[in-house]
Amino acid sequence: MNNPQNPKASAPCTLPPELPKEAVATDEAPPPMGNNNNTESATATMVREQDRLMPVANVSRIMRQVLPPYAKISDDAKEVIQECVSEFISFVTGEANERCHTERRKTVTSEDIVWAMSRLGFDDYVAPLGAFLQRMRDDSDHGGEERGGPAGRGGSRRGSSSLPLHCPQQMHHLHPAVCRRPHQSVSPAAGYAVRPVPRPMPASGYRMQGGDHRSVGGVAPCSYGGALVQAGGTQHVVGFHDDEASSSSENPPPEGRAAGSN
Amino acid sequence: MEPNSSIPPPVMGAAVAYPPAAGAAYSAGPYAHAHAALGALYPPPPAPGPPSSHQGGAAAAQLQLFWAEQYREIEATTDFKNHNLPLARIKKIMKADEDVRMIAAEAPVVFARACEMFILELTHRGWAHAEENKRRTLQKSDIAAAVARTEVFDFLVDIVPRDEPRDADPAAAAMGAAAPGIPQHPAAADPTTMGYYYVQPQ
Repeated sequence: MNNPQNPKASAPCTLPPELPKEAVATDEAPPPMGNNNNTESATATMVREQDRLMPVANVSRIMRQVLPPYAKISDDAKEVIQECVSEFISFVTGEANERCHTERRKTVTSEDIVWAMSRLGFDDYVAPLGAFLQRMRDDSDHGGEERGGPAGRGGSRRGSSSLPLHCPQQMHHLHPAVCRRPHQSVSPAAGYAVRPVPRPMPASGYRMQGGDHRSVGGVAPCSYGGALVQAGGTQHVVGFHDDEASSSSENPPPEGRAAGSN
Repeated sequence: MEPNSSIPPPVMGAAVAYPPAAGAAYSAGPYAHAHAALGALYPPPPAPGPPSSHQGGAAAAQLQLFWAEQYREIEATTDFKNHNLPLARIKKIMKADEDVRMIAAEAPVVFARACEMFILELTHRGWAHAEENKRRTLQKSDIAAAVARTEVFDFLVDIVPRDEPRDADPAAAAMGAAAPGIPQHPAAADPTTMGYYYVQPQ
C-alpha cells in the first residue's frame, strides 16, 4: 500500500486544477456540518435533509409488506421511520468504522456491517444477512456470465469503448483521491477540506461520474486497478441506480483480492 | 424460555397454514390470518405482571414468525441488483460520518437489506401497539411505543420524541415516561468521545 501511494501522492500534487477543487471543498466543508447540527435552515438545507433520508415511497412500500391491507399509515409515522432508518445506518456505520480503525483498515466491508449489528444487539439480523451475502456472491458469479446478454449491459459496453478517452481523466481523478488520504492522516483541517471534494463533482457533471465509473470497472482486473476501483467507489457518492447496480456486480472480485492481500 | 416454548406450538400450527398463503405473494388471506393471530396474541392487559409476561411471549412468537419469513424471502431472492432502497442514498448517509474513508461496493447492498428488515420490524412492533388501541392507522405514537418497549432500539429514543405518546393514551404515556429511565445520555456521549478519539490520530 505504501509503495503505490508514494508515486500517486507525488503526481497529483503537481496538478494545478486540483487546487481550486480543494478550495471549493474547503468552502463546502463548514455548511454541511452546520446544517447537520441545525437540521433546519434554508432551501439548500432542505434539499440536503431530503438527501439525508430514505425516499418516503420506498419506506411506505416496505412498511405495507408487514401490515394488513386495511391498515393505514399516517404521514408522521412515515416521517419518523425515515428518520429512524437514517439513524440506524449512522449508528451501525459508526460501530463498523470503529472496527476498521482498530484493525487499521480503510475500507468498511460487508463483514464489518454485519459484525457491528451483532455487537449493537441486532442479533436477529446477522443470520439472514449472512445468507443474503453468500447468495449475493453466488449471484455475482452468474452475473458475470449474464453480462453478455442484456441490451443494457451492451450499452455499458459502448461506454467501455470510450475507456481510452476517460482513462486519463480517471487517473487524474483517482490520484487526488489517493493523495487526499495522506493529507487526512497528517492534519484534521486537511482531512475536512479533502473529504467533501466528491460532493461538488456529482452536482457539476453526472455524466462524467458515469464515465469515471465505467473506466473504474474496466480497470478492475489488476490489483492496482483494485485500489482505483475502491477510490472510484468512494468518489461515486451520488450516482444513478443503474450505475450502482453495475458497480455492485463488478466490484466484488477486486474487494476479494484486496481482502486477500490484507 | 419455558413459557416461550409453550406458546410457540399454537403459533407454529398457525404457521403451517401461513406458508402456502405466503406463496400467494402477500394476498389478503395471510394478512387475515395474521390479523386473527394478532388479535389472539395481544389481548388488552389490565394487570401489569402476568399479562406482561404473556405479552412478551406473544411478541417473541410473532417475531420468530417474522424472522422465519425473512429467511424465506432471502431464499427466494434471485435479483440482487434491484433494491427497495437506493444505494446511493445509503452511501451518502454512511459518508456523512467524516471518519468513514472507503466503503466496499457490497456494503450498501447489505445495508439496503438490513434497513428493509429494520423497517419491517419497527413497523411490525408499532402495528401491535396500534391494534392494542383498536386503531387501524399506524401513528407516530405507535412507533414511539415500539421504540420504548424494545431495548435494541434505545439509540432511537432521541429520534422519536416522547411528547407524542401524550396524545395517544395513558399506557403510551407511561411507556414514554419509562423511556427517560433508560441511560441513553451516556450512550449519546460515546459517539462524541469516539469522534474526538478519531480526530486525534488524523
